[in-house]
Amino acid sequence: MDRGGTGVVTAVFTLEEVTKRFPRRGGGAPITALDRVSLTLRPGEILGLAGESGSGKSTMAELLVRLQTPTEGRIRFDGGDLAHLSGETLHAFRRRVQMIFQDPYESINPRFTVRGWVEEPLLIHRTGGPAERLAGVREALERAELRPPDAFLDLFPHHLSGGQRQRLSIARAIVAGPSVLVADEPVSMLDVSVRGGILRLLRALRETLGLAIVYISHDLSTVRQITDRVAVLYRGSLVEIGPTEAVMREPRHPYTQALLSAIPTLSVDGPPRRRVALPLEDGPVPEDACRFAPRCPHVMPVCRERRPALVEQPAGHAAACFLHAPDAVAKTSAV
Amino acid sequence: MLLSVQDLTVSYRTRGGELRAVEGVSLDVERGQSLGIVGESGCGKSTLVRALLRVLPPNGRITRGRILFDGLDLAALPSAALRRVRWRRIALIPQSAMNALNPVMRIGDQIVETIVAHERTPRAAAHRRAAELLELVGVEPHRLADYPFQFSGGMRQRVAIAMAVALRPDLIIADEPTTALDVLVQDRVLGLLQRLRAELGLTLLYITHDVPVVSELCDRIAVMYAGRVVEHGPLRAVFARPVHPYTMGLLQASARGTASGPIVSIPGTPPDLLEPPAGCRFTARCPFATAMCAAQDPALAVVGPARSAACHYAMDAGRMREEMERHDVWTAGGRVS
Repeated sequence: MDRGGTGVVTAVFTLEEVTKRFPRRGGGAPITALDRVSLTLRPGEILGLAGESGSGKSTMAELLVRLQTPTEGRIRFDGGDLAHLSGETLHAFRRRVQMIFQDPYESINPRFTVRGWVEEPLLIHRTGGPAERLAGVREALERAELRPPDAFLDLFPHHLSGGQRQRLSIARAIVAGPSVLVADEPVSMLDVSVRGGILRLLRALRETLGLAIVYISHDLSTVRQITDRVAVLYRGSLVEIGPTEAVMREPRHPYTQALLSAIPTLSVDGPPRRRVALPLEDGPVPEDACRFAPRCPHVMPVCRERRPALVEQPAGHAAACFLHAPDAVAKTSAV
Repeated sequence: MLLSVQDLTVSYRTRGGELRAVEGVSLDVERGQSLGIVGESGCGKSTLVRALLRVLPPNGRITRGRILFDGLDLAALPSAALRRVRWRRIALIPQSAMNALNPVMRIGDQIVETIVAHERTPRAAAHRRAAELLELVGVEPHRLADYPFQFSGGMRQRVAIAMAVALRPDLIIADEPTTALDVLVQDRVLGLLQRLRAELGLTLLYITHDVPVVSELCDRIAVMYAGRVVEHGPLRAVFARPVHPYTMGLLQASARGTASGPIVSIPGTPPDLLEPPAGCRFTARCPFATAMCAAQDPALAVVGPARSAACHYAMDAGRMREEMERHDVWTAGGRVS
């Protein structure tokens, strides 16, 4: 496993200049949900995708699990182009890349028992006989910490708490032996007191199963707790990416700085938190300008004329901002 | 005392029997003060808000206690008298302004209607006031002519705040007013509420599941668990030295950690309120629980200056906080949340 530093990086997923546009209802110019995003997911890493609503982070999740395909650009999985998968190869891909959804109530079919819900992926992927499948279900429940598994097998979702339901979703996601989990806001609907248990579980699964995990969230504090690297999205553009602690301690992009400064803390002593009051989001931004320019407290003339490229700074930390790379050219490369 | 909730119990009739969503809750709010009520889903905080405003669903009713508001008992007030209190003296900032605003009415007309429905004010004067109110909350006055759908979520929440302060109420109840908002938008709304508190001397009852939000906005905090207030006191004192183990866990779970730091969660789930346990309701999840906790329900007792907590071992809070420093105290014995 290579977590960077040696130059050549093996990757599970590689996004190359990925753009996704959706037609606008009632016609008009299409909506650009993702704009020329390049990044990689490395084996065994937990990569955070952070951003507010409209940042494109959920579109990213749908592209990664191939619920959507890019309008332009390419996504490689294990070297192969995702767009070219079909039939058997697509079926195999679906076994290896699993998704966990935000809502543990809506995402589970209430008519299934725990056993049936976790077993279904094994049936879809025609894995093993009944005894083998039951053993697989038990193991997945055990790993998801629904213990002892036999106490849960015959329960229905309505018997479970929110946290237990999310564990059930995780058991289903891991039962067929995936190599990647894409988790879209997996704890945002859970009570604060149970979130930590799910976060610890995801970290543990990375260790024991060697999973790579894409952790998508608007909440930078949970991103900070479990991810190795974080990518920050703003209105479809990747504005910053780097090792999580480096980004949190020394955010380089003014948007990341604003996001971090906006998080309330538990601290009741010392001076009040400094607020970065950004102007409100307004209309469309010209194609060849920084998406953030209209709101940026440090905006320069160049920001309205050219689009900053994501330029790598020390230790794999990169930002798309002319403040840090005055001569940034508009061609980006995967970081 | 502007608001004094005394021994309030609110019950719902359900298919499973009588469910006491709020039980024996007592709270005080002084004029000019800001009290944060925090708790997780099912703790009773929303029911408490509905009871204070007397907008409980048909199967819910106040079965015990008093809600003294400036000397009036809201729990016993006839509905005609209640209408004179609601909105004019007690206003609500709801979680989703979209549900509170009329979608087919211009924002300006809605604010004007609110004013003239409760005050003898000429429409022209009410209109001028509406423009001032929008300015106060940072929305350009020309947007009075816009409809709710033309506003972003954050802007709608500002409009809801403008409507809440329109009649200069004595008390504002804010029910998770920033929960549905993005981080940056939430931050602006919190900043706005802070500023309004300072400028208008608002008395605020702020309900939320998000503990850090309370730290910036409130003087006092009440922590609810399973229908009860388990700890109540000045914000700084409670944050610095929590007495109830649930408060300790909630604060730890809400802390903004780092990747290398521990991730804290509280194992287990709250009890079923249709069949509440006999003793302390936190017993099953509490790392310090003893046989006494399972047998006897602790009362909310004074534990310090203007502070109370409902824990048999409140005297031992120092030792419990020390043991909490070892974050694995929650997961000892293989317990899972």
